Amino acid sequence: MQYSITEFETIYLRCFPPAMRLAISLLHDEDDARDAVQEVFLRLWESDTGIENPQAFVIRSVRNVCLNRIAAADTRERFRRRYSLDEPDDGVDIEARHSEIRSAVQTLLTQRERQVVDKIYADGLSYKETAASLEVSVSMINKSVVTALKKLRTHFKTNK
Amino acid sequence: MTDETKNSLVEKMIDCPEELTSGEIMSIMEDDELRQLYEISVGLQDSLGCGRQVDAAKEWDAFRPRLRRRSRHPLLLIAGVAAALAGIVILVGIMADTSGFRHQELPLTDSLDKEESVVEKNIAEAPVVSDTEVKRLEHLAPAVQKTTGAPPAPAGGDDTAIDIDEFMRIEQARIDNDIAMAMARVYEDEYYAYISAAIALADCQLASAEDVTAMFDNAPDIEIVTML
Repeated sequence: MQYSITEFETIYLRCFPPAMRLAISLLHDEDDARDAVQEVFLRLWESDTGIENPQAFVIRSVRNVCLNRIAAADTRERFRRRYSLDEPDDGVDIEARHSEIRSAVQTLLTQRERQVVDKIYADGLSYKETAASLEVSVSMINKSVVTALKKLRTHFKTNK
Repeated sequence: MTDETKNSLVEKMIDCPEELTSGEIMSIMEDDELRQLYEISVGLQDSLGCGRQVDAAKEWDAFRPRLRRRSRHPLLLIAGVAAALAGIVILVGIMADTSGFRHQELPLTDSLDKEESVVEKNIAEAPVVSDTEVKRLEHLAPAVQKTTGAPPAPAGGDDTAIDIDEFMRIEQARIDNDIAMAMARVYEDEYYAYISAAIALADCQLASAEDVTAMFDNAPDIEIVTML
């Protein structure tokens, strides 16, 4: 334990938000994400060796903890939690990948498709809730989703 | 697979993935298009699902007690070690007590004083020896030492150190002795009961049939009486 409580609080307040966002983006569940991030902070607190850059340590460790948890999930669990079926690539810059997708959503999708995608993926609504909020049918929602996914798939396939 | 079936599978894998059957999972895994659509869906979830505001101060308040508990951990560890040591000491004490293995007690001070006073009294009461007598005894001393040989060597460290076999033999003998003494006390009681009943009979005192029966039942073996 190398930090005083005050020092550690400063590190925590600075590093927690990006670490939590990263964990949520990988694990898709707030409780799981919080658990993973706290595990890393406890490791940092108990660490006897000096860590030069705590923020880099926390982000790297959170990413590793999350990827290990995803790797431990079987196929059914991956579908249930919406984890990737492919093995994670350590070389990929997660933040860069996220901004690339966000940019594609903004440029390639129609307004209606963007609305539907935001409601489902950003707000976490179900098809039924989304349909109710946009006052359309559930099948219309699914049609928009499928169209949006196909557009993005074509985009990333050609730009790979 | 028709487009309608694929759209139905996409709806299920995004809206309610927990309801996917094993067959449907296999279908998605085997179909390139469905699999790629799933991966794009995961990418959207990753990118768009993390935009929530995080209240770091609130999270810190919730997390801080866990640090306190951990920071006390070394103290708990020391307490645990101390408790374990105390337990070992108590256990050794109990074992020593049950096996009867005790340190040699020092003689009491008053008994030492008593012995000292007896020695002083003996010296005082001893007859006075003349100088010529002393010289004669001194002259005889070497000769006496020669005939009796060297005095025995004082008890060394090997004699005081009792090895475990010796200790076990002593313990066994002690236990046997305790059992024999207990049995002897039982036989002794029976013997006195028999004698009392016989005396009562000899004095023509009234004795119940039960007492007479008990007297003959408890009649000691002549060999045991001899032993006692």
